[in-house]
Amino acid sequence: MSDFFKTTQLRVSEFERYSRQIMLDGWGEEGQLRLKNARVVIIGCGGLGNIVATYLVGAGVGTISLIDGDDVELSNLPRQIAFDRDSCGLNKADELTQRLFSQNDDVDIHVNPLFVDADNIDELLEHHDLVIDCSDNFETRRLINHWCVTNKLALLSASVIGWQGQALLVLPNLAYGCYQCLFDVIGTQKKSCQSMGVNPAMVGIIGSYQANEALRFLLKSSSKLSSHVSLIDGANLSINQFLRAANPQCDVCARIREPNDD
Amino acid sequence: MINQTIQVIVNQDQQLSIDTDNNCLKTVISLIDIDTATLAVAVNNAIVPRGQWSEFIINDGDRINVFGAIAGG
Repeated sequence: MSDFFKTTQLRVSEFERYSRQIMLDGWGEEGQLRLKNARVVIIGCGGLGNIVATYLVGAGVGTISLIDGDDVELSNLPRQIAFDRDSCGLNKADELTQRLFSQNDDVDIHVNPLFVDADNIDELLEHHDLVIDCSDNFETRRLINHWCVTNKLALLSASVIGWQGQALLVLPNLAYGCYQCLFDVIGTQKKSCQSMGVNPAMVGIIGSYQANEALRFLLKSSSKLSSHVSLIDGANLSINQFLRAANPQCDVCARIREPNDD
Repeated sequence: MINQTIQVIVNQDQQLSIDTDNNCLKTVISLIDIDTATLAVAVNNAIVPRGQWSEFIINDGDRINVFGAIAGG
């Protein structure tokens, strides 16, 4: 965003609303203004998207775009907490937007009730500061990663099935590679909630983890996820973090990285 | 000549014995009962890209973690 359009002061009501977070080290008024001027896009308004969007809207992120072409189903309700029985059959992005407006009408929410694909991705993702992947399939995850690498936009990716979650942050400098460097052979397996099942509480944990990292990125605070992948296990309450490495043979980012980055 | 073996730990709790004359990471992974598609591998908490598995030598006491990508959201 051009500095000309940036807000440089908080209103009195904003100081009151955000007082408990402004008092944090590394946050302050400056951090709150960073959030107010930030633009993020959330792809997928299911379990993770519900949680991430709720916390980012609550925290005062100024502009949030929501993308999802899916409709709410009864089997979504245990973990997609923004929805209720009356939401069933209605579009997830639309329904989530209604909920978020009532939570914080200071936030500018752009609703896109459609699936992201190769034809519309430019229009949907450009002009944001952070892309948050809450999608539910490998094809979309690969598409989003490729777009973010090519367009040099930060990507915060998280996923959850069963009792497990994963998260990583891909920065535009690609110093630790991209999503494809980590999972370079993505087949047709459907390791999704629909095929593998999921603990609803784990969706809350991973969504909160993802929201926390999104806020830290927007606040320009350090994040271990920019260099590591986190594996969160809800069965034994463990978090393992592994240092990532750029794959010299990555067919998405190897040619884009500077030669001396490897 | 008797081959020497080394011990490694896989995914925190599985102990594996490996011949020292066949101890590249790719061989070690082939001994683990896991689908190698969508697989990431870390040795001593650092990811080893798939293209380096053939040259990466495993040493006694190394901790190996293997995990697959998940897509649920």
